Amino acid sequence: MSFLNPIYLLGLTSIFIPILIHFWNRKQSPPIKVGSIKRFESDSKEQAKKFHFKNLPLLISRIILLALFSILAAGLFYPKNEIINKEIDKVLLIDYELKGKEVLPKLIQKIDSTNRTIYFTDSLSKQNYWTELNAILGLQFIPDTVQFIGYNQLKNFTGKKKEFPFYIDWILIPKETERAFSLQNSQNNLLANSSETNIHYVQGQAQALENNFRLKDTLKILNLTKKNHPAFYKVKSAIEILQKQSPFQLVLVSSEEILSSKTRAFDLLLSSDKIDQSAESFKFSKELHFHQSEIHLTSQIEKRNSQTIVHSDFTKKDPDLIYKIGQLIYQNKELENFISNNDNRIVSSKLLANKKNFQKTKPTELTRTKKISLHNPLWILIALSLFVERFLAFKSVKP
Amino acid sequence: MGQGTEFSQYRAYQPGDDIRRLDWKMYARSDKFFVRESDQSKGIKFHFILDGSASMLHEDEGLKKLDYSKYLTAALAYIGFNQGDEIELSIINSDQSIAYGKISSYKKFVQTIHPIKAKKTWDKTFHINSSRLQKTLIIVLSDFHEMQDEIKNSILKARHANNEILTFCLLSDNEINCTYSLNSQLQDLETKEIITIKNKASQKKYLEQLEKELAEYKQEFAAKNIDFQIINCSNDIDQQIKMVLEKRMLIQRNLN
Repeated sequence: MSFLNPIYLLGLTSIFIPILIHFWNRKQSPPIKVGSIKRFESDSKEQAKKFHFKNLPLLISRIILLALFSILAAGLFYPKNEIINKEIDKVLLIDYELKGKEVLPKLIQKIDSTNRTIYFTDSLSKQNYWTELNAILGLQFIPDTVQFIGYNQLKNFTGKKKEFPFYIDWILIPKETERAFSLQNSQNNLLANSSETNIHYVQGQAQALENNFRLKDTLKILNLTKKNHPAFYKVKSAIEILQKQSPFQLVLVSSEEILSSKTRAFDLLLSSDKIDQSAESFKFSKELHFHQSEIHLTSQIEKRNSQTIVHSDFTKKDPDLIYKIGQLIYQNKELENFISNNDNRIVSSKLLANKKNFQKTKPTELTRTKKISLHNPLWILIALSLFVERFLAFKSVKP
Repeated sequence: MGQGTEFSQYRAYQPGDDIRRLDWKMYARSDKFFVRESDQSKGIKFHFILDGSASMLHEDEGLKKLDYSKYLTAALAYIGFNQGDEIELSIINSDQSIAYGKISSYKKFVQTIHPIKAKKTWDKTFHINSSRLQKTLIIVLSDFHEMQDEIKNSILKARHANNEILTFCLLSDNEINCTYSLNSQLQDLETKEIITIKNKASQKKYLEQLEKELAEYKQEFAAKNIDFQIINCSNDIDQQIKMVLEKRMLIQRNLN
């Protein structure tokens, strides 16, 4: 057991107050002078000479009462370790700057069929990319299924989605932007439709959307940062939010060109001391960097703050490779196995050389220490003690 | 014949007679001096014996037992003085027992009794003397808080054929009923010992012991025709006086 505010335990010194009052009263009230005490029991006479407490049960009850108040103020709790997630949800961030449209739907389809968390975004600009990352890291919980579609793809995703096996649960629209959109709930009912030109959604309306379509484990509508925020600021915000997140694996799929341009910010994200190793933050993440034009798979393995980052260069342009990688990640396969089972032509010499350095990373069972407060039992004890104290005080009053 | 309270006869004044005894009404009627003579009553002597031990300082509701005994004694003495009885006073305590002997007037009696202070314990060596020639009513006022029956023995020894002894056992209401609260600390005025009333059983035992002792006193004193009265100091003094007077009337009848 421990205390939330141990400083309040200093209040335990107040237990000496009733003792001091007892002695003070004892001193203040001299014995009653009587004609003779010979008719009283002789053993009482002997004990009268010895040091003893008057009304000892009452004194003890008062001491207990004061001690309980101090303990209550100090916030007694007992820690309980509980497993948060046996399976770590994964967030796959696919940067649409890949612009492989024929690739992306297939990937989406395949990934979605695994019923994992998906988050993908339309990268409007380099700035917005980090905005979306910030949005991801603003997750208060790990959703089971969240699907977000940026407005650039709206034309493809309005109405009933036959070509894609998923539904639009909600739409996040930048408040500064006017775009057409279509809103449909999970029952495929078309709830709203708009033209391409006239709709302007502001934050309040987005809030209304959230209220109406708050599904279980659905992401909240997040406030977008302003367009002109520097990327560094966004990442820093993301780092602060990340600290509070439930653990998840972040899989970042983007072009190296994009990522390299934001290397500094991304490094900050991963190397921040805000990402601590406690049970409440994610333990590791894997990243796959893909070169846009040639899809190079690098074999460089880096370890940053216990995060394992695998840089893979694809030497062969293979649109399905992204899918394969994604699948393997979702299936929790060892990356080593992936490398060894893959076409050797893909594996670079660097990877082979560093094979020994590769560390197996498995999703670990994350535990969180829950602080179970003992406020309620303490209050019950205080009430009982108060009752006993009052009862004893009433009994000790001279009739 | 001589000085007394009941008129007997007139006789002619002779030089040397006390001029205070002249009857002026007779002079007015006869123009001659006559002295009034009356029968000398036999009368009894009142001997008040006050317990001057420290236990008499026990206080209840603002009144000490010593003060109560003083008031009672003074009231009885007043009656005695008015009737021309002889009044004696003795104060007993181990510090300084004083036998004042015959006191000539009520005023002097009050002056004597008023400054009396209680100290220490009963004087075991004090003997209650009373003349075997004159009828004496000995009135003992004490709380009978004794260690070795010294008070009782003194009284029993004093009893003889020519005196009557009336004992008043003065007890406060809290002594009679043990109305002290639990866990009260009591200090003996004489021994200075301190005791704590632990529980109701202790109180009960005290009351049983008190009842037993008082019954013993009554029995032992009754065997020697000594009247033993328990007086609650919460009661009015006039009730006690009435009782004493009734007793005295009884004695008078016995004497006559």
